[in-house]
Amino acid sequence: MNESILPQEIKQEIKETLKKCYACGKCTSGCPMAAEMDFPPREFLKMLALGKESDMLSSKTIWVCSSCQTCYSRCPFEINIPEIIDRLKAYVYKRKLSNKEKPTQVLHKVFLDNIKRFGRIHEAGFIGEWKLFSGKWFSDLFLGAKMFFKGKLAIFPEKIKKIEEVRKLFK
Amino acid sequence: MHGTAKEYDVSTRAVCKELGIELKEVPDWNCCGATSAHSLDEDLALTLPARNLKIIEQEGLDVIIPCAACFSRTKICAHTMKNDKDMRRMIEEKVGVEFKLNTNIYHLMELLAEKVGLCEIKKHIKRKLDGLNAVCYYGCLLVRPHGITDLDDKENPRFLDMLMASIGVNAIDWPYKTECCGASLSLSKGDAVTNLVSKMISCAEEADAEAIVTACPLCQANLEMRQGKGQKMPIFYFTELLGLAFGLKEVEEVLKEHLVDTHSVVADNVGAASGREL
Repeated sequence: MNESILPQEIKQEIKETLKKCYACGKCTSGCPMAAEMDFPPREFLKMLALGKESDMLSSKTIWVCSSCQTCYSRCPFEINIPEIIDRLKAYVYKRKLSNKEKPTQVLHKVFLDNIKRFGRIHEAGFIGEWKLFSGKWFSDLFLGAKMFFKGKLAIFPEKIKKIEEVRKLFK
Repeated sequence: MHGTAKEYDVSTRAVCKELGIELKEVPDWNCCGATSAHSLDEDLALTLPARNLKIIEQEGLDVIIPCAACFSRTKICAHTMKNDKDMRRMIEEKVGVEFKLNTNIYHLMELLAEKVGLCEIKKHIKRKLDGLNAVCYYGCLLVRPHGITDLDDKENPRFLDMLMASIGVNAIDWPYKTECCGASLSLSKGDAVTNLVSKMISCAEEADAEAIVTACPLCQANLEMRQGKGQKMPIFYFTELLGLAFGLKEVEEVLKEHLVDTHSVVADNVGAASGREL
């Protein structure tokens, strides 16, 4: 099976949902990140409805979405666009299908790795590791230093006691 | 709250103590996974907050959540378990407990405005913040997904405005109450987030606001860190302003920790107000 094509049942479910869309564009007009997307929400949905899901799996859109849910809350048919995007992201991520918006993909991975390791986010470690793997080595250095001196970035991580309970959830 | 949001931590504890609310930190809590979990792994997005809910049920207490994202994710988790038997079975299996789902999940702001009530809050005021013009910023996840968080109007919420008005703040109406702050993209797409935030700050300035009031650690951090060139708008947690009105010393102290200076706004308004203590 071609991995860049969604399984039939997910595809069918999304297509059914999208039959309700009459392309009013409220999703795109309210989307805070639309300007950064290659396919703003309305176009994104139209492409999916037309069966172009492999293009959408490799779109910037799915990673640029900030999950604010403005589109969902304003859609006259309550189409849960963020949920569709989440499903696509998880699918793409598990199969390593896309290189788009790498820093954001790395951010999510490092964030979850941090939870797996400590049960909580160790902010300084998380940011450091993200910088290392995303290649954004020099962004916000001044800001980071300022936060460090304000005592907002702890040097040592807090690890929860029953970390094995959290690690079990990752299996 | 243990890290970048320590102002929120200190002011929340101080304000609750003043109001007679006894807080107990959820023992051994874990991170809810926020955007990253629901982006990459649907199951984790439910099981991570579920582990916290398990601990809360064992404690037999209600829970107050100060962060909008944790609040939204925890509510979604409880809602899913109530309405989807298969998911509930999956979650209970992984977390290793049968849920009773009898815990009330409040956002801190909801608890103060609705359960404690404005009349009670007014009784604790030592000095009114009469001179302060501010806009209230709710962000995304307090009011969305609306059927689940079940808080106020999804486009024009009033909770925080009423809470602020009760301590004398002139809470100005503005159109960006529930606009997105860019959330976790602040790190990976800083420029895009600066675009969003600088527009919001300009709008607040046009509305003659001297400060923005928030109820979420990530909103506060993004609004403070991602302002445009030349913008210096102080961004408060609502609990800090409550603490100032209640005359709580530890809250005054912690205001120094902000990245954007809060001193001038506080000195102009609260300082002057202390002259007419009630």
